[in-house]
Amino acid sequence: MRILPWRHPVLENPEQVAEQFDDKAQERDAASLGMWVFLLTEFLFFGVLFACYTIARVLYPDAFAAASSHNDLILGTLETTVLLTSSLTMALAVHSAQHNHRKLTSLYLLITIGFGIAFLGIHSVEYYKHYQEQLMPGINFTFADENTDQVELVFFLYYVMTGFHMLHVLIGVIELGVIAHLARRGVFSESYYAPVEMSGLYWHFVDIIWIYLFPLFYLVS
Amino acid sequence: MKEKNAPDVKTFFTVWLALMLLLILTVASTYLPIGHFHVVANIGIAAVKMLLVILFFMHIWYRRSLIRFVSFTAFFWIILLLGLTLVDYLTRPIITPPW
Repeated sequence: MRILPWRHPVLENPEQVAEQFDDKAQERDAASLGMWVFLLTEFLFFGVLFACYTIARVLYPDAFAAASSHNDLILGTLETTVLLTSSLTMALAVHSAQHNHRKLTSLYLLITIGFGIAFLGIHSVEYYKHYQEQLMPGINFTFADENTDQVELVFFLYYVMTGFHMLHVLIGVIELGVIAHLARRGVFSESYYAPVEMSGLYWHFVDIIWIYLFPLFYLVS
Repeated sequence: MKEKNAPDVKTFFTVWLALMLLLILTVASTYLPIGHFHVVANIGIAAVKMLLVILFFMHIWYRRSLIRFVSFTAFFWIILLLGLTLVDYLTRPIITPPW
């Protein structure tokens, strides 16, 4: 019975080691290594944005405090809680796949997707509130402060960084959707759970970026 | 480092609890009058959280040296980037000699 529409060497011979690897452990680690190299490039991507933030913060420290007071701390904390819990359910999904719990894997993956969509929803509400308070540079930015230009710059940075983060969460949600569909068809087992684990790595990476974004934009006083 | 491949469920929940406590700590610290130490405290707590997620949720604690080395390269690179950038920007104000 074909459970994937394409031929898959690991699924068809789970016990056999592919010939380019020395042993099974190295075969399992190869996917991890590749995924981590990709995550390195993603760190490159966000790293330069964080460098931009560092420079702006050194040059205009007061503007950040002023901007941060207009960010909703409650919504921000809620978003952080949602993402941290989604990381937990993602790790539990990988764990279930590793231990042959098919239904649990699907369930945890769906819960993680739910949390991801919840995060996107809360963040969109936040963006809408900013629009209503006239804090969107380029569209309707009015701010009563002595260094309005600097605060506008801070909000530019806020939208770029959190916007790209939201894009990554969306990509993660779509990817987890595909993996959840495969999990429902029973593709993953003790001998083949690499896609779940690799999606987990991506999801934890997205969580880490938010762990840093939260204090940098919401907790400046 | 351990013999097994991945943490058990109890470890996952313990790490999650630690992450939640650190979140409460970092939010509560904004209400303390510690001035410039807010940045240090917040970044420090965020770094600890990131370490917990990387070591346990991403299984780095249970991986061999090659994977660990690659994963820590990212932070080494970011420290290099931020460090050298700050070396420039923090020394831009003209510092007159005392004589």
